[in-house]
Amino acid sequence: MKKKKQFTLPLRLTVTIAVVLLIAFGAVFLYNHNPTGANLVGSCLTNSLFGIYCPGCGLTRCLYSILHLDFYQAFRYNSAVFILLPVFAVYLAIRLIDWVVTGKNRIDRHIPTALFIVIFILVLIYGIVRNIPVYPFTLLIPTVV
Amino acid sequence: MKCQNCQHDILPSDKFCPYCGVDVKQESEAAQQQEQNGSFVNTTAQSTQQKAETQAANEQAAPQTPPVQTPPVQTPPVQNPYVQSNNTNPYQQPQQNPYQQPQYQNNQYGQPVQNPYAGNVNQPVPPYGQKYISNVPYLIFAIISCLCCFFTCGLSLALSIPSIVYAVKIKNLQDIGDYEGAKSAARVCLILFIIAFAVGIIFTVLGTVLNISIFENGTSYSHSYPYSYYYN
Repeated sequence: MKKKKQFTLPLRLTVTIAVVLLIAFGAVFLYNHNPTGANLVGSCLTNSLFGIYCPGCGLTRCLYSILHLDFYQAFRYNSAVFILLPVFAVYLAIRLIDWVVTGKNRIDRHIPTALFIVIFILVLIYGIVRNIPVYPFTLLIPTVV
Repeated sequence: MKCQNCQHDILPSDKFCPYCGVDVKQESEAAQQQEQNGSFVNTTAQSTQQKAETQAANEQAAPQTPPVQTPPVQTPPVQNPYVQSNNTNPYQQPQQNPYQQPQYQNNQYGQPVQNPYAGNVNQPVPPYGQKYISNVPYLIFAIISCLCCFFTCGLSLALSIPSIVYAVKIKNLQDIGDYEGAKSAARVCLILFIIAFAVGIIFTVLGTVLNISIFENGTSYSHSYPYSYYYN
């Protein structure tokens, strides 16, 4: 018989607070570092070498704009992340609260796997479509409003 | 080997049935011992009257199966001393284990219930002492590594496809009952995500250094806005 790992309530609370603090630290760091300026935090090798836009292109600038409450600009930088981020944030929040209170996972079994496959395929299509240099698709390129 | 209660295929090494929770060992041992006791009684019985008595007692013991709720203490007294000694041992009474009873096969709505302790009927029951592996975090890892490809020169984009395939496998394998396979699929998923992230960090540092040098030549960030934008 294998020994079961036991997460007591204080331990679960500590882990949750650590996760929240990590996210908060990252947010504060990003808030003070403009990724569009000359002082780039992380820059894209794919784009500088091949000149293509990945599905994640503009993610950092999108998050930066969200933190500065500039939502339309965030949407123009990366619309996929702008739509997916609240969904994942709500999922993470519900999972963490449920885990802290009950110590179990009662959420995941209600989420169908097919949903994620659809999201994945949509993200891949988004990555392809934003590289097409025709008018309606060029809107998906990260642009400054 | 099949479970006596729910007829699922189980491993011979299993002590408990992973589907319905029945104590498999106990059940088979008890059955064997009953057989042995029966033959013992039959050989030692000298008069035909005693034989008849044991048969009657056995018949009386056998129909105990349907009344489920009767706890072991309230068993009706049995006349034959041999059979009685057999019955007073609580470990040899598979009939009185409430978890083996057919009432758990179907609930009152006629739907099959695999395990009374499983929260969800649709969720397969993992082996004893093991947790059900949820594949939702791994699916999210795959989507994140797909989105984070701007760090890794397209590597994490390439890794995200096997990652999502293995994440789907986790659930499918557990549905079949291959818990070990699901475990290794989860490990593969995690390794792919870690590789994507580690390479991402390396490439971020590299990209930052490289991009600044390209930047001074005026060729970087050729997309979306002109070079002069940064210095306005």
